[in-house]
Amino acid sequence: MKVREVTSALIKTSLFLLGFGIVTTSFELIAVSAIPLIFLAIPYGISAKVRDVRYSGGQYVGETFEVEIKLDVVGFGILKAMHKLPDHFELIDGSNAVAGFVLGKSEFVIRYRANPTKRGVYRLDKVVAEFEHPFFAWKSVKELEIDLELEVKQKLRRITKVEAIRGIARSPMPDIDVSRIGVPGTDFREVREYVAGDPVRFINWKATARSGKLMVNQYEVEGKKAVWIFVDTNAYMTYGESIRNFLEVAIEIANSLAYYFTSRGHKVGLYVIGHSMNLYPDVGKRQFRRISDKLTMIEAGNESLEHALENSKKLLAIYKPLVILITRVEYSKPAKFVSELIKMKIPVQIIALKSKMDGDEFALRLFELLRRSALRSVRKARVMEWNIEKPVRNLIVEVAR
Amino acid sequence: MIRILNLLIAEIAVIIAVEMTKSSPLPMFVPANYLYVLTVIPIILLLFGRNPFDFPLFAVLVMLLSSKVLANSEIFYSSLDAIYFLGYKNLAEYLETIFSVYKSTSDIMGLSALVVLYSVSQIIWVMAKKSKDLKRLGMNVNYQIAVLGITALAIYLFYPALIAPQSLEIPLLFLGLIGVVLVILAMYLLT
Repeated sequence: MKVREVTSALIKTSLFLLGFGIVTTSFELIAVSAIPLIFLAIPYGISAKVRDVRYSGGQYVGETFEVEIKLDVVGFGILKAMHKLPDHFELIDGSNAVAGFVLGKSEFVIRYRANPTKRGVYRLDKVVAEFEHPFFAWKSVKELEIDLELEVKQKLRRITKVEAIRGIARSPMPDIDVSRIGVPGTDFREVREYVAGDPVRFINWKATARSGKLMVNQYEVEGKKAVWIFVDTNAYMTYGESIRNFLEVAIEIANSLAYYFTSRGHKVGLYVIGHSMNLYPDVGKRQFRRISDKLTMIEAGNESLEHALENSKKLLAIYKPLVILITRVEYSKPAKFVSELIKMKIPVQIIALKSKMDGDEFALRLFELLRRSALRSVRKARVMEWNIEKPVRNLIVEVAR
Repeated sequence: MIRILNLLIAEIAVIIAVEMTKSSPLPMFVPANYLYVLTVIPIILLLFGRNPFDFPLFAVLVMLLSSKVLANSEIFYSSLDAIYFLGYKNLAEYLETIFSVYKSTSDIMGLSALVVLYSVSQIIWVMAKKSKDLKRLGMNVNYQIAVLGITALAIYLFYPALIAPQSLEIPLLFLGLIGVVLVILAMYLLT
């Protein structure tokens, strides 16, 4: 048991007087040795309960979160109450802790404004109340429950201007490509051999008679090409500040890309490298919300690109989507990943994140050489280097071109 | 401000102790007015950033007051007997004549005042250390000081009367047992 400073000093005083009194057989000294203990024996007791909790904002990273918690307190002593905040919350106004001397009935209000600096789901459901003896001799701690859960998402960088260029394909961007999977339209594509599951009405009887095999007409399917976003969340992505590091930027980019493509009718899928987390391609706002929710929860993980490809290979073969890989090429070394996809005739776009690095000049040059070498090894893919210090909105415009 | 209050308490304690000493056997050996030198100690301690009423000073003040306590102490008189037996007859008789005059006097009020002041100073010192943090959380320690003052005054006024031997009527054996229990409790709390 840890004895507090006042308690220790008063007990020692009492012992000194008691000991001295016993040695000198003095009734006076023994009698006064109880005085320090009387100070410790002063009774205290506080009862506190949460009366009201109000909060607003804080739904996106950087959006101010305002809280007001009212406590009803009765008793005698000192009350210190603190609304526990995670590390990723930056207090900008007020205080998340209050203290006061309680004598009878009183009201305590915790009022503050804070900025969430990282996405995530935060349970802010605890107010820690410390009830202290009026002379700091003793204290007890109690947690008061409140109903407060906050989901903080990356702020969506909406694209305001996109240059849609048609003509000779400069990029593998899928805005004008069509989907492999979807509802068949009326545009004829080819005649091919029947496979189980093909509708009977698509059977081409003439071609069947000619070839002796059951043949069906293949029509272009409606809908746009699928996009599959691969977000690298391996530990090396967490380099940088807790607020703005490679991982946070990668998530921000993935979120914005998901919004961009879903709002344009593309099927969008997500693969989180590091957690083997796969979200099958789908269309619409619900799919965007699913992706956004998944991205909100992500922390650093551990998985190789090869493993990620192995996990999603079958689906990639079916959908033939545009694969967008967001990573640090110098660490993930995506050469094999890219070559496998190119073999499967799947277009790949790599968003290679970079940042200003600190350190010895020689080491930095060596690092840059390694990065350049990694970039050269993936030249079959379209690579876009992106400095994480720049605002993401500009990158989205460029990618979307 | 709180530290100055603590300094004031220390000075009052020194003055009380010295004044009480004047009516004790001690001035027979040391002139009581010389003991006012002790008032400088709290100031020096405060200048060095320490508690102006620290434990060594308290112990010295208790020792000063205990010269009167010795007059009622059986152990003291048995020590005089020992001195007498060892051949220092004159010294033993001299000390006996000095101390025996104070045999029936009690100095419990002075001792109580000293212990109350020391206890208050310890609490105030911790209060002073914590006041900065508490102020940041919106708490003022003035109420606490007021409560402490009232409590200290109540203890000083009522406790000595309560434990006066004639009003207590508790057998000494029982008091001894209480003492032993308190020692065990203190050891448990301090370990």
